[in-house]
Amino acid sequence: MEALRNLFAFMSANSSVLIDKTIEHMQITGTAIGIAILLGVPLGILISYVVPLKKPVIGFANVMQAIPSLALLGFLVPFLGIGRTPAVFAVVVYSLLPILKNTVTGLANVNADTLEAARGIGMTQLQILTRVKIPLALPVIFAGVRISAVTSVGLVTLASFIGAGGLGDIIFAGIRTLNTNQLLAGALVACILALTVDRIGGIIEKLVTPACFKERK
Amino acid sequence: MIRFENVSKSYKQQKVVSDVSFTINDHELVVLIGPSGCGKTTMLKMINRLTNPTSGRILINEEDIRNRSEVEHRKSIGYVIQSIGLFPHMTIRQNIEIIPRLQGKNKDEILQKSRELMQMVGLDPDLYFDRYPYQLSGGQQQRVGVARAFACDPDIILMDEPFSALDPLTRLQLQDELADLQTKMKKTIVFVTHDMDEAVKIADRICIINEGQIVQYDTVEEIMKHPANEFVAEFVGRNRIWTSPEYIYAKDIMVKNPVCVSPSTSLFRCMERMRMYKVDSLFVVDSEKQLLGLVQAKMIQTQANTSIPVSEIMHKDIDGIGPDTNIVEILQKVSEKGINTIPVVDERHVLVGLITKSSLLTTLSHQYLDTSEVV
Ligand SMILES: Nc1ncnc2c1ncn2[C@@H]1O[C@H](COP(=O)(O)OP(=O)(O)OP(=O)(O)O)[C@@H](O)[C@H]1O
Ligand SMILES: [Mg+2]
Repeated sequence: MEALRNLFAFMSANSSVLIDKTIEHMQITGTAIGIAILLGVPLGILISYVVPLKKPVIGFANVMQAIPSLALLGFLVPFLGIGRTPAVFAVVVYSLLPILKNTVTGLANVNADTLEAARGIGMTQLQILTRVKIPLALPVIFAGVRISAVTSVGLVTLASFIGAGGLGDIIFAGIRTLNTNQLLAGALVACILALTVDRIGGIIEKLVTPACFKERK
Repeated sequence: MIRFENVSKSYKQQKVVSDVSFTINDHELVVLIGPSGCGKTTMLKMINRLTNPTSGRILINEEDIRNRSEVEHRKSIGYVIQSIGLFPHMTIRQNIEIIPRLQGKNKDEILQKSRELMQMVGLDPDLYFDRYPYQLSGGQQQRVGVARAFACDPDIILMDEPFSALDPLTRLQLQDELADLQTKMKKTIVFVTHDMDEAVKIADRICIINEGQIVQYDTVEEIMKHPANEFVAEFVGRNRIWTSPEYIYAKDIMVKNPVCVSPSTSLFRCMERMRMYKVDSLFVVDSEKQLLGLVQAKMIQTQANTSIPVSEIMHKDIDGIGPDTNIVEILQKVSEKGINTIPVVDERHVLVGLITKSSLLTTLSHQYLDTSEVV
């Protein structure tokens, strides 16, 4: 009880730093996820149509995902220096796979009869993609984005190692100085942030889900 | 007019459609029917180019369909599939309007048209327009599918087992509605099914397919009466004709050479003829074989003088029926008028045959006694 009171005392005393770092954290995550979506969804669409590209692209994303996160961050420093750029880069690389995979899966899982009907009534390939495939695949695509966003919140805490800022700064400072309150404050906010992102993700996922998938069960 | 010219289709080594040639006339409803896997769907899909023939060609109004843009070609042909194929994420209205909207047609015109189409298939637009397909019953969804096929006013409509997933009652109802619709709209419809009852009910012509080849392509009546071979007979079902008695005509069941006399024949000679042919009535015809009257044995027996000509006592006002009167109408006539013999006359009133109660009985008994030749 005493410990908890101390923690909250610390948090209110340092609220402005905590808020700044949270915003920083969100900025990095947001930028990275934004880029990952802009990259991953079109790439996913591309490899759904150009089948020969599918294996190499997914393979490459798999390999990237397999690199330990700290190792990846370290590896980027010689090329991109320290700071936000390598951090964003690393998060994008990690987020790509779920988004890419879910885009491909989502598009592939659109009912074959629906697609045949679309072709049969004379829609062009582009119209089928934009009016039928993407709307129907959107929930699956967005589920990938949601997974990416939640993992990214965690990954960005590590990015403090290469000077990207964010809540990692508070956590690592707490570890270095053996300040439990500081450590816990950073970790707690990071957790809350991750859960919040997941919740918001869930809400958006519902919004993009066509009515037909919601009630039919 | 849709014409298949030596159309074949193979998947790898397997020949699915082999050397098919036939013509589908404008404004006719042609049913493609045959066992599962015989190539019906493949033939249908070749018409709207969802698949292409391996060899041969398909012409629509004498134009090779390969010369047309794929998308434009499909827009000019309505398409209804078994699984309905409505877009689940679009409302009923959006489903019907999708193609006209993509074509950038006038919004008010589109709306008016889709309202008409909904009414055409018996759905209240105000009630259903904003619903999603999953909120409709299977039968209602299939109706929307049909409405969508009509949205671009196509001359040709392809239907691949559109009613097979429905319960029997809804299916019967939709078949009736389609038949009604067809009499009004006069589209060229190619309809795939494996249900012979369905085919008989809606088709103008039936194309029976087996193993990628056409076994018989003919009117419903011809197919039922003159199956080309054992396969068709088996497939159609031997007693099928009895489910459609309107296809059994007077000319099919009449006695071809009724016993006749000329009007000047004496009653005495009439009696002799009756005795000779073991009949109890005679038709009186002139030299052109035009029907003048009827005389019965009991009418002669009451006459004292048997040397007078038959024309003096014969029944003159007898109703003949045309050779194309169907058995249902004949039975109605027999039961209404209580008559035993009905003369069959052609349009010039020439006597061509005779139907008696006993010949009707013989015909009708065929459906219960398993005899091979029905009519
Ligand atoms: N895309 C394809 N690749 C390979 N074989 C195919 C393909 N489409 C159809 N076939 C084969 O072609 C044959 C005819 O198929 P089709 O779908 O035309 O049959 P059908 O007469 O419509 O049968 P059903 O009544 O079961 O629908 C079948 O043996 C089927 O396996
Ligand atoms: Mg089929």
